[in-house]
Amino acid sequence: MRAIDRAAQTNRWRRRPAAEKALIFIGLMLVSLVVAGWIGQIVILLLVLCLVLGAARVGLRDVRAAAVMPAGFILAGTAVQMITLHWAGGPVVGIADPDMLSAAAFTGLRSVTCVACLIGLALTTPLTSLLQMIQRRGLAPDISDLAMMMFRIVWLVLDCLETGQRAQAARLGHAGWGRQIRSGGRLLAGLLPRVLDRAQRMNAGLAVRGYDGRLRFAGAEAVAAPARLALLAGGLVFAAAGAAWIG
Amino acid sequence: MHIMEGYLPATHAALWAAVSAPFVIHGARRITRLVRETPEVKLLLAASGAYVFVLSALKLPSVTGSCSHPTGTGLAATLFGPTVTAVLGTIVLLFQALLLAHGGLTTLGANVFSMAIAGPFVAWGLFHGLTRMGAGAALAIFVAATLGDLATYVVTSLQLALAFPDPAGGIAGAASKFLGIFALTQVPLAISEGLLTVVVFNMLGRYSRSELKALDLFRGRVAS
Repeated sequence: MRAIDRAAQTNRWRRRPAAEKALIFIGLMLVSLVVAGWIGQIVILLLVLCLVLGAARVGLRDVRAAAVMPAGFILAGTAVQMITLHWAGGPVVGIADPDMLSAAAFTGLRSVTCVACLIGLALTTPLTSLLQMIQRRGLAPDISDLAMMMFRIVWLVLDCLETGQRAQAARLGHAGWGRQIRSGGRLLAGLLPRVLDRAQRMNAGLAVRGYDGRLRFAGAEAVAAPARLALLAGGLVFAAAGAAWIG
Repeated sequence: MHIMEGYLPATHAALWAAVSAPFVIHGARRITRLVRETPEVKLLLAASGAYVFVLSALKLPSVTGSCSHPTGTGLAATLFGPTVTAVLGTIVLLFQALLLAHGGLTTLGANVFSMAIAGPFVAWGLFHGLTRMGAGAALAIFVAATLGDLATYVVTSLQLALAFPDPAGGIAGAASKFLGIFALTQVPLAISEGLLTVVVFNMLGRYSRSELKALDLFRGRVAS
């Protein structure tokens, strides 16, 4: 999580408008999901990797670290799709027919492409920028403010959690399954009062500063130009047509 | 475990988003009304949401030897109510997609339904049902957290089975496959989460009564 946020804050596209990056990556994700065939998926995947590694200069290590968990799910899900199960007096398991194998492999490839788009967005655009963009597009202010506050508090809580975990591990609190469960329970139980205490203190601090119900973040991004957004949207339509044509 | 980005076909992704939306919109409206009436509750809600997010960051040992994380739905639904959990869970899933690359944007609706709606409602219903029937709090919270976690994975299996029916066994065959795979890892994990939640619940009851009273401030008005 810290690696993704660090990459999002330090890549070469940091000052590009969040709307542009969201349009590029979510647009390519939708093209992949809706129209692209085998070759189209590979082309989109390569394009996203070029944008993330080449244009935004995100480190390969960060991309790889972000991709490990989704890759595990995609591999497991695809493997399950490649076997069949039916009942003929008892469970009968077999390898799926070639059409099903092909469909499962395609689903896996499409998911890899879409995950690459998601990782591209996550590694180039801080979450706060995306939340502010959604807020400007009409999300209820109270809900977006709640999300912004959650984002701030998450880092504080994670810090408490990691400190507690280190302390417990150093005192052999993770030795054995039962002890690990008890340690985890104690840690989480101790965490809630701390979180609520921090929230109350933050509330008091904000109240004396004239908090009017809106938290504002300093934005580092340039303002999105409608002409550039239109150009990018046109490029996506062109990409969708191309993906549909090449299959 | 959440369904990854791009794994569901576009029609299924849109359908699950449409199914989840009324629950989330209803919860969001209630929260908006509450926050306008009692502004100080907003921070309490945000802190609770952050707590739910961090719950899923806690590594939990499994009997199978693997290590995973709790969904947190059982504890969250019991402490905050299912409606609040639906909204907080949606924000948490969005954060997980954009901060951890875990889950996805196109699969957000499906994941919200399984983890932020089905799981919490099952857990909340079981906890209140069992306590009304006279069961002890520890047993009720264990059953609620364990089955709330399992409900999430059962719904996920059904979502995957509907999207990818088995050519020989149909939707039932596909559901059996996905449930069979999840049962290997998820049943022990759900039991672990149930035990963990009992420990948390007991300690909260013993040492954090004032915080629980503060949570009641919004639970009574937003939940149900």
